[in-house]
Amino acid sequence: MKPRQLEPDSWVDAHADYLFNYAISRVSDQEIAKDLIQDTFIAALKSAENYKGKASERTWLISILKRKIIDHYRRINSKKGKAEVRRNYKSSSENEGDWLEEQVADPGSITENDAIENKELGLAIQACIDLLPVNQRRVFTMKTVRGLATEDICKELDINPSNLWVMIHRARTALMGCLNKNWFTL
Amino acid sequence: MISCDEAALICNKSQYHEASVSEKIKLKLHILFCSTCKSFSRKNKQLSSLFEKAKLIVLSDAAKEDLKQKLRDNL
Repeated sequence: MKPRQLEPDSWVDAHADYLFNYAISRVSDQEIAKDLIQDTFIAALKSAENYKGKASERTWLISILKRKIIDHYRRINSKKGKAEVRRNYKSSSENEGDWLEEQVADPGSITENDAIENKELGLAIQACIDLLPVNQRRVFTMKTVRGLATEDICKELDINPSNLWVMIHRARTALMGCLNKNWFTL
Repeated sequence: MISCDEAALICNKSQYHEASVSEKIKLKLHILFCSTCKSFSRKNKQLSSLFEKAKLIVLSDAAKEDLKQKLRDNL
């Protein structure tokens, strides 16, 4: 099989935002997430010859990023010493033997599920945004994700407001379709 | 009466809080008689609330440039 041409620049444009959101949902720190995706891209460059083109480029990059995240947690754990879970139990309390029941999740608490769902939602949306044509993606991201003012975007990209709103309209319509296909009923 | 294109424009603007009061009234009136725009408006609002929930972030352009430079250095 012919080795694929490596195009690191287009990698960054195509996958960096997705990898960044993926990393942040797992390490909750922007700086660490940035370092992790940088390590990921560099590792990908070095092992590019092992990439057989079987999986999609994104799947391949995500699999490297996952290893980097695991390595990251190993590293911080060895710094702190081993992760320990300690619970205090009074030796002769009447609660003795109840420990299993105490560990049961509170069924009324839904906040942790919310957080997980929102992470998955974020990645689903990012995947759809990445499918947009470059211009729409750029305008849409500036407007919606970075929350820039219409005027500033128009100045930076040298377009007029009606161009901007047309692109926003097309992007939003495409996203509705894409998210609808990917299980979110709109 | 405004056209569906105008209605869609106002609807998009209002997702970013950029529609004026008079525009919003025109949109409301239009929606009363137009089921297509009514459904679009509903979906558009839902889309906005999904974005709000998802709290997406992107790398800044500078950070991306930085990343590209580092990759070139490692080629």
